[in-house]
Amino acid sequence: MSGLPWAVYLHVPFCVRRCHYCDFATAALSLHPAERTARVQRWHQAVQAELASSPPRPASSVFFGGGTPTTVPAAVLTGLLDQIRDHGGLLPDAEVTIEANPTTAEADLFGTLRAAGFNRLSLGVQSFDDRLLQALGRTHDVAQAVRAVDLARAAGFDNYSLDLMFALPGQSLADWQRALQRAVDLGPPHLSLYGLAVEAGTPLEQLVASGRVQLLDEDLAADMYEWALDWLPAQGWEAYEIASFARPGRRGQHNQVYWRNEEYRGFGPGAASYVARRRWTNLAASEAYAAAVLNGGDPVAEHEQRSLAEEQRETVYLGLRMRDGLEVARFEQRFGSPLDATFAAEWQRLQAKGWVERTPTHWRLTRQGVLLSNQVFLEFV
Amino acid sequence: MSDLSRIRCFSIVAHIDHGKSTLADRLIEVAGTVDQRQMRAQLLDSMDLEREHGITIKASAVRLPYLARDGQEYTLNLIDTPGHVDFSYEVSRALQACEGALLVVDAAQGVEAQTIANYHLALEQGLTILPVINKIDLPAADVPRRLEEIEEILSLPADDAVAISARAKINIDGLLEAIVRHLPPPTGDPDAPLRALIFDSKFDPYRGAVAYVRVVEGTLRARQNIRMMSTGKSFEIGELGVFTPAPTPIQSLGPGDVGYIIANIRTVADTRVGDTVTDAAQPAAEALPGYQPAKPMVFSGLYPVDSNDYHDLREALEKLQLNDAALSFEPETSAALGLGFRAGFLGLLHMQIVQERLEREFNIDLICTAASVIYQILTTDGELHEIHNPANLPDPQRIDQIEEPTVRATIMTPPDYVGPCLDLCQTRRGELLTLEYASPTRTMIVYKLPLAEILHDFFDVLKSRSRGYATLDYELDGSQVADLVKVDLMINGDKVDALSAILHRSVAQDRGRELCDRLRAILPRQQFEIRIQASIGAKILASARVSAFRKDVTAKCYGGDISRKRKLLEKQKEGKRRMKQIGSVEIPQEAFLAVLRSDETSPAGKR
Repeated sequence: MSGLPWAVYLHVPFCVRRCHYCDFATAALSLHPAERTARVQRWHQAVQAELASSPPRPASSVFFGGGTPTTVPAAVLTGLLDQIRDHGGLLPDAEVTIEANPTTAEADLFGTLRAAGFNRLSLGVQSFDDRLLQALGRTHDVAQAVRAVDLARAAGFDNYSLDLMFALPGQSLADWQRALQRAVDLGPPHLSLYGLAVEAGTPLEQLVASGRVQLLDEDLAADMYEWALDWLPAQGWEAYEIASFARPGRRGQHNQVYWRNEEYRGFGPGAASYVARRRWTNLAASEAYAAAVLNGGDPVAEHEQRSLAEEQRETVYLGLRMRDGLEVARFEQRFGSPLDATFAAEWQRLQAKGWVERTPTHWRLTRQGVLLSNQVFLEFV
Repeated sequence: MSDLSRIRCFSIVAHIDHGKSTLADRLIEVAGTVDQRQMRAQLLDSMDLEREHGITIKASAVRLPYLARDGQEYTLNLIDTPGHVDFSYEVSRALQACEGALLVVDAAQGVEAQTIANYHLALEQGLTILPVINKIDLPAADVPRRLEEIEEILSLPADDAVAISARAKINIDGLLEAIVRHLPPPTGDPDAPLRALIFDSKFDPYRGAVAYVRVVEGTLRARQNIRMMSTGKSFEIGELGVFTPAPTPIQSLGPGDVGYIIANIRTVADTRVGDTVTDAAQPAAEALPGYQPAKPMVFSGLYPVDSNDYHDLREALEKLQLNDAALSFEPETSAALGLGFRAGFLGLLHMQIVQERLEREFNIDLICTAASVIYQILTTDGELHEIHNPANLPDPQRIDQIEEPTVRATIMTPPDYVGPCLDLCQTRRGELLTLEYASPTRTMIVYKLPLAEILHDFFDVLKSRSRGYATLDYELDGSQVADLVKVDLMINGDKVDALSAILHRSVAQDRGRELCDRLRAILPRQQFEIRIQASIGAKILASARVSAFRKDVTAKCYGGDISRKRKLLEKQKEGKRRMKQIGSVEIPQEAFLAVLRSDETSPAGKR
């Protein structure tokens, strides 16, 4: 397989503070500046080493995620992108995304990042309501977010995505509709919409358990999501994946690699990789990860080898996340087995419930199937 | 032959947590037969479950040599008794094996409901009772007040009472002397035909059933051919021994001796508690009095969540029965739950223990239907039917009358909580028998209550209404005719037989409403609306709806961590697997138990 392109993910675990709902690998939030700098340096060395020791395959897309990547010096980020380019190469049209919080301080970096070859920004706007932003534990306000979008465009990022959350505590349907309208008015080519979910071990979980935060009614959350599914396409948007919406021609490339169940390599603490049917995840704690890599050890926390049958099942339910669905011919080309017959019983059950449909070329979710997608995927795990 | 005058056989009886097990440990330790390494806390208990429930399910017996102040060596046979009302028959047989009993009373808490119940059991066996005030080292200890209670409430002279602390090792020697001085020695002719009482039996996977016996007359010898008088079955003794407390083989046991018999007996059904062991060649003319076969009082349906586990469940029940002669079961079919078993238990605790062991030791995911009692149904054609399962109640038109079992319940409570206790008993269809201010701190309330009304949460509610102070004991006491009806539950129009309940007509409407609401709180939302109805026959009492869930979406990709996403899905799938599919509705296990719980203690009610 060496030499074939893969997608590259790079995890920057640092944040100014942790949001109440976040369960990603993040670190070094409130340390003494000197210690914080030392940790960033150890992480940086370790990621460089992990990159250097990986097979030199070209990247079809690159994604710097976090944490908040823009909390480390721009030179570190651009240096790592250079290393990726020098090591395995970057395909000519490769999408190179970096996540950023829409604060003015970070916006100062946008020009540097753009010049270094980052060509897409993912901005964690989350909400257009200062009260809700505060409740989520975010570090920015609405005015900063609006300004950050302007700065991004001015810096030459014509390709950017806004993350928005719905089903926030105290949010009404009208609040959500206004938020989405405001987001669209900013003119982004791409939107990612997430319903607030309570993850184990997060501050949000404790807030909910203690009754200090009341989660939104499930039906209202469904109303919000359905409204977006109807309204955005009416404005000319493509709802091309369960949570992803794009102006025509502006779909995100990187995440589609996950949904097509293709190969990707993740670097950094907590990063996940999928190569040669093996899935693994690095140690999530930044210090432990760095120690493992720098001592010449293995930073892998968990790994599993998937069988051919498992790869097929994963390909199906990941593919169904996309609006176009799972292309029958492509599946058969990849596996040499017929998609209809291999999962005849599953398709039959799901069709009977009205959750999937067969187009001439694809299997895809119906509207109800989108809403109940986890129930559909359960058939394939 | 040993000198009978230097043997004492006795039990310790007490209210729960008054220190019975600690005292037993201490007697064993002080009499010097256990070295410290061997000494585990509460040595007489053996099963994990017993430890968790804080009670002793199966009695054991220990032989303690004691050098008394008169210079003579005595043999003290300490016979342990179960500490729960479910096992009152077993308690009575253990007491039958004794001449005396230590009645332990907590120096701070005083006489409680089980103190009285155990005292009466010991009196019925004609035992000499030695009061023991324990925990005198506690700051709240009040020995004079406890002595008064013993005299006033129990009418037991407290002159010989011994004040000790088992935990702090205070006056254990004094107690041992008092045992020798005040408890009578056994009598019995070693040359008479053999009669030995089985007061307990256990199952050992390698050695089969082990019978714990007290020789009353005659002599037991190693290799002897013995006969069980209730069944007539004969066995050759493979090992005869005593517990010191380690099992120690011995050549013979005479009158007053307590020990064990191992005789290649495959099931405890052949070593029934209360049975008499005699010599196969020269049998005694008459068995010892008091033997009763175990009679189950509480019934529950046991169904595997996965119907493929049916045979595993049967095997597990058969294995449990090898060491639990009181457990009975027969196959049962439920329209809703498929193939399963209706199992009979001595009481609620016994039921919980069996259910837990099935899940824990045999790894079977189980649905247990709400516990039920035995109803005697007289149908209009004059026939009498015994119903163990509410679903089997005949049509109301065919029923002439229904009789339900009742208990005589004794509640001891500080006077402040008399009102709440009476109120609880009244709402449970109780009939007040006596109310007695037995001492300034203790009021004794005696009620006649339907057994069905105390099955599920009576004890928990009693505890919560009395801030933990009230104590309860009960004994089965006849039956009564009652105006009972069967309330059925329907889910999307399908009657779920396993959720049927027999209730008094006066509460059927309200309870039907509660049941619907409770199920609505428990049932997870599904892809379609769920309609819940409670009915008597064709008459709908109440209904509730669970609206369909509309959204089950995980948006984020976890940065490509597909493994993690998949594990979350697998967990969700496992949760579904543990639910029971009825029609097209998935019902979680707890729904079946929630049925008869009242709102005060049900988790659903606290939501």
